[in-house]
Amino acid sequence: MVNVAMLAYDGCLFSSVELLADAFSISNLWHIKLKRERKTLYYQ
Amino acid sequence: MEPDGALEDLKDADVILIAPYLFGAHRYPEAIPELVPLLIHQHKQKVRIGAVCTAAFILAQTGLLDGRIATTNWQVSKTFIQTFPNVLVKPDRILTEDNGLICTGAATSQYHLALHIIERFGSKALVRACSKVFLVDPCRVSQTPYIIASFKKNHGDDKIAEAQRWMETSYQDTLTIDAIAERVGLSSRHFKRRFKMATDETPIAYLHQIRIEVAKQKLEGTRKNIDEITHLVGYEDSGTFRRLFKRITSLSPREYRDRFSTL
Repeated sequence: MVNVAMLAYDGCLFSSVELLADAFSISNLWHIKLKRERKTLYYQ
Repeated sequence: MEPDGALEDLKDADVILIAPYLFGAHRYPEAIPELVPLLIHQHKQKVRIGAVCTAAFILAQTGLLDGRIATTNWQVSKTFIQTFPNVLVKPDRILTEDNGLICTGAATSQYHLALHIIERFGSKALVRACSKVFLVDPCRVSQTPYIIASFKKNHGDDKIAEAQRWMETSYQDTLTIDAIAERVGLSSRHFKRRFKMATDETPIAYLHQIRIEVAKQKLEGTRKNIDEITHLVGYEDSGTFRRLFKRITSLSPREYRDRFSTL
């Protein structure tokens, strides 16, 4: 399990945080699909 | 969106990603005092740190990027270079990683960052699957084709401003640097020196950029062929034009038209 931390702050572009969170969520889903396992790759 | 952790939680991370700020709205944010030593400490622990787009300004304040290759949003790359002269900036690159420090270019390069991390901790098969979902070409390495030339004009040198105006309206003519210098009443040598000081460009590079920018507009919005565009923007030889176009945009004129034509 990989722990990805995202550093947000006042004035930052939150869309960027959301985009990356979505990207890793999609990656988690495909990881399960490709590896046929239940364990996800990333922790967010 | 609400934070679900404190700065201390970064100590448990394998990868730390710093969100970008909206440039133009305000000056780049100062890194808060607690953040700098924390990022330095985590970097020493081999934690990968990614600066998304303009977040390179925050990461660079730690000093970790000094002597390292980095990139940032092309629209602020000149400011970044001036602010952090010790960083080896590659403004054309979509993504860089040097010693565990990752930086990205503008906007959608965040997808490239995600794919980069997915490949590092996942697999190439996973990257292929995700790139199809994101509609992102994982092989694209340059943000150059997307760069819109911006020309420095608030330098206060009237003679150089006059030369710039002349180049921008007469780019289609056969212009020589000597003729431009003479027009604004300067010796060629003096003109070149003052031009570079005022605009950060040589006069010939400036003229090429104007011509290529016009050529890009013609390729995007007209059906004129490459030879016609070559002459319209002031070049006599289409080979020279194609070579310069590729050097400045990283695409051939045909590739550029295929990608950006609005017709």
